[in-house]
Amino acid sequence: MPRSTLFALFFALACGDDGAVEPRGVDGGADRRDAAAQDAAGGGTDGGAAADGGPGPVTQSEGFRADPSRVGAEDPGAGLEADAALLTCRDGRDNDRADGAMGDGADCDDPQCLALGVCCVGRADCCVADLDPPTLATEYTFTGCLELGTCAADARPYGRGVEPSADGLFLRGDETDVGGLEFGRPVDLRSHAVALGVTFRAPRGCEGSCLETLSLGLRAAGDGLPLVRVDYGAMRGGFVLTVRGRQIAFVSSAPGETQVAELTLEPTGDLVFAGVRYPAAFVPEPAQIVLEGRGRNPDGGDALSPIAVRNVEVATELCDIPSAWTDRVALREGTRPSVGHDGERTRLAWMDNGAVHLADLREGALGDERTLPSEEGVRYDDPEIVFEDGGWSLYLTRRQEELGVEVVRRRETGDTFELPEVVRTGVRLVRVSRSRPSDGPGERVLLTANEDGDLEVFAGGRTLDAVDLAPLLARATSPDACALAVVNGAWHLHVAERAGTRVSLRLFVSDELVHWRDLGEVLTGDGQGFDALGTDLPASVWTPEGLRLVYVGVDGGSPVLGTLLRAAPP
Amino acid sequence: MRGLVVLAALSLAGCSILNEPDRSRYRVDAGPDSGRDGGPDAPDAPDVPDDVGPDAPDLGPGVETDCTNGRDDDEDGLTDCEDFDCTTEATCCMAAAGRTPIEETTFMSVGWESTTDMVPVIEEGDVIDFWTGAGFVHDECVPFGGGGTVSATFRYTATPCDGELEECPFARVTLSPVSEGSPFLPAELAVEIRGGLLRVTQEGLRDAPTSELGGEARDVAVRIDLRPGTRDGRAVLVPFVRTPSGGTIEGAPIDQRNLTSCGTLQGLRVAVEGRGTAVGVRGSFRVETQDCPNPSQFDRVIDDPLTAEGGFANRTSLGWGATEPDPDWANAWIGAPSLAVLSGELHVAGHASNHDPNIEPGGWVGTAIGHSEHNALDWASTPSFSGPDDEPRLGEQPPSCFGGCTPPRFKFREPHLSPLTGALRLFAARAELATDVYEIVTQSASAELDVVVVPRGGTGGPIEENCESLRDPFLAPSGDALRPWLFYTCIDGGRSSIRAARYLVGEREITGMSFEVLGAADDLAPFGLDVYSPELVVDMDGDDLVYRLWFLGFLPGSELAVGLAVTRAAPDAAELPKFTLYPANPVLRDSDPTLTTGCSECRALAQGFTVARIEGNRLRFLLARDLRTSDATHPRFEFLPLEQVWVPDSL
Repeated sequence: MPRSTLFALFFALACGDDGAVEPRGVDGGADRRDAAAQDAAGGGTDGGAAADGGPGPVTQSEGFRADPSRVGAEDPGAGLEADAALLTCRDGRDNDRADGAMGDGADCDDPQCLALGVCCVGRADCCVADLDPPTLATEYTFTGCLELGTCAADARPYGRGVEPSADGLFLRGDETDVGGLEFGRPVDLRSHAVALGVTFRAPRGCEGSCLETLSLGLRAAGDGLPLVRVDYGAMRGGFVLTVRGRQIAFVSSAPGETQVAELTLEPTGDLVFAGVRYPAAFVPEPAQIVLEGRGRNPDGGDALSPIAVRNVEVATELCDIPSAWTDRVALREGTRPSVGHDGERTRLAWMDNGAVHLADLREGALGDERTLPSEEGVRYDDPEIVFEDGGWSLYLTRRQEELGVEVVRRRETGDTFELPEVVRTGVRLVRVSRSRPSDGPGERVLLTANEDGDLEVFAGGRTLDAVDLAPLLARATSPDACALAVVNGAWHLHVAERAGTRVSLRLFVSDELVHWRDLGEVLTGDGQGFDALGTDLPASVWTPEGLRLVYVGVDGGSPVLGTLLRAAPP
Repeated sequence: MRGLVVLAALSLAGCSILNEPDRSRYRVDAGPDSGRDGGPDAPDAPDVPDDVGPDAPDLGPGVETDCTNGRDDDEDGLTDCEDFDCTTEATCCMAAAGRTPIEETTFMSVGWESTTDMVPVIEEGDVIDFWTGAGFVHDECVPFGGGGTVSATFRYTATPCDGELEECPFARVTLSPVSEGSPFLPAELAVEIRGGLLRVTQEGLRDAPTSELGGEARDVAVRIDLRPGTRDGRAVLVPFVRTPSGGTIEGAPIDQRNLTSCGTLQGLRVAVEGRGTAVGVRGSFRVETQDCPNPSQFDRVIDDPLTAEGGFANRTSLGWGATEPDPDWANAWIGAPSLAVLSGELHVAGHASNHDPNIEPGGWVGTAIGHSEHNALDWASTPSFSGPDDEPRLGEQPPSCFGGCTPPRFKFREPHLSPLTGALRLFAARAELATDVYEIVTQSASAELDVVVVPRGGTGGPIEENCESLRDPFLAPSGDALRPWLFYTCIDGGRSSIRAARYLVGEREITGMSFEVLGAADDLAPFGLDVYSPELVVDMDGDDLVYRLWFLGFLPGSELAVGLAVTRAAPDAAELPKFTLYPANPVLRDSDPTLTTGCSECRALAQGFTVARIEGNRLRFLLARDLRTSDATHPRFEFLPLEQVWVPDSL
């Protein structure tokens, strides 16, 4: 079965039932600003989500699109203007449901809205092919293969091993140990959907009494223990699906010599096996694909015609899963970090002992560290390092006795930063981010706060009155404990929230900074080390490797900068 | 204004100030939930007029309004300290057994470490100067998970402070999950004296409840009580701070997930911190842990895990290792423990096999039942049990074989040792080797085997028509010694639930109608639809019996977890009332550090558990775990002993 067919099956099963994160914080459209605020802060429901099946009113959005080229609408044939069409994907209504008919879902539950990045976050049904680099070969054919290296170059035998043959691959385990193959390198199931298929010849001569088994699945990379697997047993006459050794389902095998088992794993934790979806059945983690079995029976099992594996198929896709972070790395002491990227180079700016510091971030370590020279009577704070207009800018909050507080920008030229250029007065800097349309470099979005802590958002040369981030930051550790970046065509706002001594990051996503989906807690403290108690003051930027996050680790002691990464569709 | 309790800061602090938790102000609705009163509860009402802080715990079926009156005030079947509403009451707690309090007359004694580079100045045992910010933290994590108290006396000089309150000198007692601060420890709770006020501060809460101290220099004694409870489905510690005026400030609940690990129990670090000389801390400082009912805190106060055979370091052997024939019958797998106490002796049973259960998805693994005993409740002095002389108590030797031997006809699993029928009787689930259709059997000490109940389609005993397979038997008292309740797991249509029926001691089989105890019809959240493996402890209370039921179920991600439910019934009840689920279930789960006790680098999966009352108010659990290190090719199965306090002596 070719790869595309595997995934066609997978998605046919996956799309029928949206078991992913329910959209929250999507308001009804009539009073977008108020409703968004209420939803985001309290997770409350709005009136628009009532059982109104007919087309609803749509109005022009007043926000700022992360990627205007993304188009999605529940009823694209209605000829609505782009912004109005978008509102059909966030008005809480199933707009294209005919009277009395079964709907296809409201907003992000409607497949036509999955073109919007905001609807893809936390789901497994709009992932992209994972080809750069491919994690695994896509097909291994063992029939007629007498040399393992020619049919499975990236596979490694283990245990009692395997035996290639003209009939297929024999798995040489016995009752004390398995024999099998592990394929390629581990797959991160937190961010990847995986579809596996195996075709094999059932054993002959067993008559249900011998230990002839085959198991296809994944073994946790961390501890080497079985994670998810499908076992075929001649004794049992069928397939058993297990998670961490616990039986989830048994399916009788179909009659016939040739048997097929297909299994899909989604980063949401859902499993699909034999046409049945098992929601939240496993906890995703990095795992190794393995094929193993037992086929040598002490009572003359070699005289049998054992299980012969004909082929194995593997397909992986990358999904936008907000909690799929790589291992965290401590960088150095510091606070109020900012992170920028220019396509090749990732740079950090942060505060330490009242001074602004800059450095490159390469392979999880800092290099080329610099300190911004101090100036008499001037205090700089809140550094934001941004690549824009073909060069690097350092945005800062500047405080001077006679001029008060203002936001300034300093362009980098060679090894120095030019004289400050005032961007906004009477406010301090919170964040600078950029929209990321697919057809251009994007536009600057500037978040500032006045002396009362009220946030204002500027973009496209105007104040975005419709954008009110205050409700999203109501539980933040500080009014500016947030990170804003574009991921997969949607704004991702990470907010640091406190619960007692613990600090965690919560994610809100939006197409245009007005309507927000609350994805809940996506990063917590490690329980030990520099961020034992939590992750505070996040900063983020999109890079080719994924979303780069820098934060302040909380452990009760001095603040330490930490970083991690999460892969996502670009 | 001495002794005046200031309420002004209350509203935004998420705290309430009470002279004692006033249960009379808690809402009481017309009757219990769970569909038994025909309708939902009334909306949660505020605690007090104009209340903007958090409400009293909303536990669904109303609240026990008095935890000492011997009555079931909220008609949920549970009285006083049995009721989950009462766990934060002092009367439901007692001093922790076996733990030495931290009692200091001088902070110079061993055990206190400076929190920063600056060491506070000590004079005659008292801390008198904290410099610009310093403190001492005790080097032992205090296991407050079961409750506890901290008593301290501040040396209050009444020195005026005219500046901003946050800039004033202060001293405080801090409870923190960590032992280092910059310069002060992050506080789950801190009680401090600053600017003429006694304040209760908690990280993340913007305003702190305060009590004014007035202008007279003196010693100010405070006491912090921490008691476990539940809020919004979460297990918490509720802090109560007794003020010098005799009032009590109730702090915001501390989520138990915010505690740090103190061995198997969870707790916090205790510190004294401060700035300047205006307030000191007397050396008369005392920290004491308590045993309040807390179903999610397990203590490991005894002995080593149990393994089938000897030869493992820090393990106690059950003596299930056979020397002949080869292979051993229990060397690859033990699981589903059962624990019983009879005449001061401890009995342990479990199923076991010579084959790894990971073969089972592909082939039929046979199992047999082992049973061992120890002549003492603890086994530290004699680290081995009397085993079954190389033979299983029930089943074949070896229980499992693939080729080269004749497979046994039956496999036996999930034993239960019951002392209820006079002599210790063994119950177990039995199935033909090549099926998953189990029936329940019982075996006397003389090895006579009887079929207790068979599933639908079975023969040879009373038929349980509701189930395709029957597993996990457990015999619990009913008030009628000749007709106890038999609990079991019912598997039907791919789902499992817990059911019960009367067991006739004389006939050794069930009789009458069975009923569902816990199943998909109940609100089992956070568990999925399947629950199984009932284990009970039953107490007499007045004329009634109180049933505490532990069970297994799956959380999202197929994580195995232990849940708890309680009910109360008259001895002659024809059917047990619905069980009330502990609001902060699960009480134990795969990912809890408790599971990897003794091997922090290991990964452990729970496989089963059992519980029995050991003595007085202590319960002992045996948790079956599959313990592995990353380099191990085969799992190691063992039974981990844990303990817990439940019913205080006063009951």
